[in-house]
Order: sequence, then structure tokens, then C-alpha cells
Amino acid sequence: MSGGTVADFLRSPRGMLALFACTFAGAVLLAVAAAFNRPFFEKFVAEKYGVVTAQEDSLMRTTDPASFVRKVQLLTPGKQTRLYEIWMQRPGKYPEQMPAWILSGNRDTLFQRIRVTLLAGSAVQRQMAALFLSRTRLPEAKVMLLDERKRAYRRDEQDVVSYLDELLRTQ
Amino acid sequence: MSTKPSHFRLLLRTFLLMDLRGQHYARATGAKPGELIPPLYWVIGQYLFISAVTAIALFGRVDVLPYTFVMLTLSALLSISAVVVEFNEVALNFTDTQVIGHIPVHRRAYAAARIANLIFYLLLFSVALVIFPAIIGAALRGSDWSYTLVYAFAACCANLIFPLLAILLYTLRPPEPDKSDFRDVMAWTQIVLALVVFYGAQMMLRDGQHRLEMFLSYPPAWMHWVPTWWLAQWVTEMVQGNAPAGLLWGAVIALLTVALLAFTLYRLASFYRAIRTGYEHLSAERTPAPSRGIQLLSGWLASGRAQRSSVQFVLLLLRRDPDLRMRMLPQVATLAALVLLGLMTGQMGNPFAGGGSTAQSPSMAIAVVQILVISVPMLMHNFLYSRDFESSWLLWSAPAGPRGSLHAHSVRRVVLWLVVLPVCLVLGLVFAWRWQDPVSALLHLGLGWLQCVIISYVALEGIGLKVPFSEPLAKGGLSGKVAPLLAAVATGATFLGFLEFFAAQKLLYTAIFAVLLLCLFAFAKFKDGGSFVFQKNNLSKS
Repeated sequence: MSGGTVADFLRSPRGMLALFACTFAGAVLLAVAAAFNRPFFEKFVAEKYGVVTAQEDSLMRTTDPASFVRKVQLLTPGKQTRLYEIWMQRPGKYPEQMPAWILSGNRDTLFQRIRVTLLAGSAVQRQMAALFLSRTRLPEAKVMLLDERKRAYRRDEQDVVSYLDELLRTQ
Repeated sequence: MSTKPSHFRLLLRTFLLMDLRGQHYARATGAKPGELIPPLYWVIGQYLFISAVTAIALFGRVDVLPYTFVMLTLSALLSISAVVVEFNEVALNFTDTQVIGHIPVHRRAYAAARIANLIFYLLLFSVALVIFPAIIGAALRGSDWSYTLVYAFAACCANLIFPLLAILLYTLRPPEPDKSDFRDVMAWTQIVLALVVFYGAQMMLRDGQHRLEMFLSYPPAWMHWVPTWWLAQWVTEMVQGNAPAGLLWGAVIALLTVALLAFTLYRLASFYRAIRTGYEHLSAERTPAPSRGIQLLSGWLASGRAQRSSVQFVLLLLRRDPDLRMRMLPQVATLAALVLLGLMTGQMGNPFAGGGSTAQSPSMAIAVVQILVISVPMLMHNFLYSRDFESSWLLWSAPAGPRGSLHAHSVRRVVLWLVVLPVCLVLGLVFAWRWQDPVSALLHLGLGWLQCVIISYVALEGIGLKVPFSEPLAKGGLSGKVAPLLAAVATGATFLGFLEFFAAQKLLYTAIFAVLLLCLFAFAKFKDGGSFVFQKNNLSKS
């Protein structure tokens, strides 16, 4: 087919419709490729936390809960959420009651921060946040855990549902 | 005599042919009438791009309901803009009466052909808007392949219902030929949305606080009243919940769409009858008479007869040339997109309210003003081009001097006072409302305005605006020539933005920053005055 004929064809209604059909077919292929590669896209869904400094680590390794709670209450909301982020990176290193002590600060801000993790964190981070909530043993935390369980159920995340069931049983 | 079905077929075929090579998106897409690929194709491409970027950006980050809501809303908005832009081509063309008015075409045949044309047109756009969200949505967690079908149905209904409502609204007004300005503005809706999507996706990926995802997942109460939210709830219910009960609502949605189509058919038929009888009596469009408004504005913007005439000339061409106005819209649209994103993501904090301790980051509030500052040279540069550039020899020979400094100053004043100042006022109102602090808003915009004035003087030298309206608009010409200047201005404005960010933390620093700007302003004005005197001397010598 000569160049002129192709141009003529593309200028005709049939050619235009063929061009649209080809474009749409290409778009379908791209969309299907994206749909079958969900793990690739989910790889980027994770929270990033700042590196824990030695000073922050020593603060979190407290053996005096009363003093720690007093210090937390003096911190700004931003610094209180930082304590949560430190715990999220090293949950096994600090006392088991640490989440409850951290939540002695500005609860609304901290619950909001945990909500962000539950929504925008990786699968592991979401489980850590759920563990944090369960260790506070607060009624609001239980409500959040139940909400998260509902969401995980809607999202067909059976492993998350089982994990949350386990946590809720211990409440 | 032909029968009505043959009228319908012939009309529909003609309308479809005209659709496929329609030129109404030419300005927004940059396509020319003679090009092989018509503007409609690029619009479809833009729609695919917008829906693909949005769907991929949200993929894996939000659940089925917010994802569906965003995609349906975007789809409905773009469909409405498509119909408004091409209203005369797909719904009702006033000049049709001149072509077929003398043939006994029944108004119902005409209306039916128009509706069929409209359905084809909207379905073409719907396919472009549905492919990515429907397929990617099926891969969301908690979704399955039934999502593709349900979403496609809901999106097609939304893409018909909302544009049909827009047409019905349009037919409420008296039947008279449309002015193209509003349609031109609507043609840029897709550009604004593309910018919102582009910047929004980047911000969402970079935002450590995940504000957009939080906003969509925990929406404010008013969002539950948005009709696309209801549709999104229905789609989610069908995929995740009780499908049999949802089928009933699906039937209701389909019925509503069909009823709306029938009513629009009836309204278009009535409207066609009205224009058929009334069109011949409409007076010819008046040629623009010497405007009192232009005279008043030029008297306000300039002193002296020569300067006033020059400003009048610039204003007249600004009023006559829709291309010139359209070229300025991208800059303003970018600002609108940034303001929307700043408001939605909570980055529109008050920089003068205690710096880092404020609940909201002030980064976007400063960025918006700096983007306005950066856009001043580009806005002025637009005045170099014109459709009627061949007539510019008149300006070259005019007494404003061979270097055209007088006209360049007129352009500077018109851009500053009639484009930048209104934008500043609107931004000031937005900031004052957001911060609940009119004084801070006034101070922020005052400093921004001063920077715009300084940059306008700098740009006079840099953009080479010797004689305005003297060059044809060529591809790449709009930004290629001034790219080095724009890069320098962008660097300077960014630096000033950083300075303001830090200066805003203390009143003393703010005062020092304001004095620095005043010094720069005095220097720019002095330097410009020197060159103007020099030109006047040259002129008197010659």
C-alpha cells in the first residue's frame, strides 16, 4: 500500500474508526498487563520511617513507666507520633506495655496516625499497627481493630483476617 | 419526496462524518485542520492518558469504593466538558437551518439523528474513559472480573446522564447562536484535569502523610451527596455485597438513562423548531464598536495620549483574538490545579502563622504565588504572536519607535493589571478564607505582586517584545525562544520563595524581605527608565 493510500484511508471515516479501534486495543492490552501485575504496584505501598537515633532508642528503653508517660505528655503531637514510628521499626525491643504508654499522649493524633498506617502501610506494617493497637487494650483500639477486620474481609485478605481474629481473641 | 427514515439515515451519516474530523478541539490539542490525525483523536488519547494515570496511581492504594468514585467522577466531568465543547456539532447546530431549513425535514427526524449522533459520540469517549478503570479495577483487592462489567455499565450511564442534564440545562435558555468563548474554556477542562491528575499522582506518591488516600477513604459528609458517590456505592455493592438486590437498582439506573434520553429527544425537537422559525430574524452579529470600557481602562492604565493609544490597541487585540486568551489559560489553569491540590491535601497553611509549628504546611501557598511570578514572562511573551502578524508593519512604522518599547510597556501593564492582578485577588480571597486571616493573605499576595512587577521589568528585556503581535505562532516557538529566560526566572523565583518561607517566621525578617523586594523593584524600574530614555534619545537623533 503506498503512502498516499494510507493517508487517504486514515482520512476516511473507516480509517478513523480503525485508528480508534487499534488505540483502544492497545489500551486494553496495557490495562490487562497492569491488572495482572498487582504485586508490582503493591510493592510501592509502604510507609517510610526515619532512622532511629541512639537518643530516641535510649528513651524508648525506659524502665520507669511513670517518668516515660510524663515525658510523652510534654512532647508535641509530632514527636509523639515519632515514638509510634520508632516502635513500628523495633516492636520486639521495647516493653510490651509501650504502646499504652505512648498513647498516654494526644490520643486523637496517634489514632489518626495509626489509621494512616492501616490504610497506606505494607502488609507487614499493617499487622504491626494492629499489634500496637491490641497492646494498648483501649476500647477505641478494639473498635479500630474490628473496623480493620471488616476491611480486610472485604478485600479478601484471609491471612490478615485470621491475624486480626487472633489479636481480638486476646483482647 | 424522501421519507423520514431516509432523512434520519442521511443526517446521521453526515453528522458522524463531521464528528470524526471536527475542529473544535483544535486549540486545546494544537492540531491543524489539514493534519492527517484530527483533533478528536488527540482528545481520545488525552482521555485515555488521564484515566490510565489516575487508575494506576490509585491501584493498590485505595479500596474499591473510593477508586470507583474517583474514576466515575472524572469520567462524568470529562463527558460533560466534551458535550459542552462540541455542543453545536453533536447536539444542535444553529447553522443547520441554513443548510437543511428549506428541506422538509421533520424536526423529530432531526432530533433523532442528533441524539443518535450524541450517543455515538459519548460512547466513543466512554470507551476511552472506561477501558483502564474497568480492567484495573477488576484487579483491586476485594474485586473480581464482574467489576469490569458493572463499572462499564455504571460509567456509560453516568457518561450519558450528566451530559444529557447539561444539554437540558442548555435548552432552557433562549435559542440563539452560541458564543465560542465558554466552549473554548471548557475545551481546556481536560488540560486542567490532566494537570491535576499529573501533579496529584506525583503528590500522592511523595506525600508521607498519605493525605489524598485518607481523604478518599474517610470522606467528608458532603461527599455522600455527590451522585457519582451513589453510583460508586452501587458498583461496590454489586461486586462485594448483595448482587441480586443491586440488580434492581441497576434496572432503575438504566430506566432513568432511557427516560432522560427520551426527554432530551423531545427538548431538542422543540428547540430545533424554535431556531428554525426564529433564526432568520436574528440580527447579524455586530462588529465590535469602539468600546467605552477599553477607553476607560486605557485611561486608567496609561498616561499621555501615545501610551493610552498603545494600551487601547493591546486591549483591542486581546478582546478580538481568542487564541491569545487561550494561550494564557494554561498558566492560569496550572495555578487553579495547584490551589485545588493544596486545599485538598492540606498544604495550604499560613506561612506567617508561626512557621514550622503550624498544623498545615505552607509549601503550596508559597509555591502557588511563585508559579504566578514565573508565569509573568510567558504571559507577556504570548503577546508577540498573532493571527494577523502580517499587519504588524503598521506597528513597526508607528511613532512608538523602532524598538517598540512603548508597546512592550503597554503589554506589561495589561498583563499585570488585567491578568495577574485579578488572579492575585482571587488567590487572596482563597487564602483569606482558608487562613481566616485577611492580613496575612494581603501580605502574602502583596509580596507576590511586588515580585510579579519586578519580573515584568526583567522580562521586558529578556523576551524581546520589540513589536507585539508581529510573529506567526509556530510549533515550539511559544516556549523555545524564551526557555533560557524562563529557566533564569524560575530559579530566581524559587530562591525568592525559599527566602519568603524563612522570612515569614519572624516579622523582622519579613520586613527585611519586603525591603529587599522594594530595592529590587527600584533597581528594575531605574534600569528600565534608563533604557527607555536611551531609546527616546536614539529616536530623536534618527
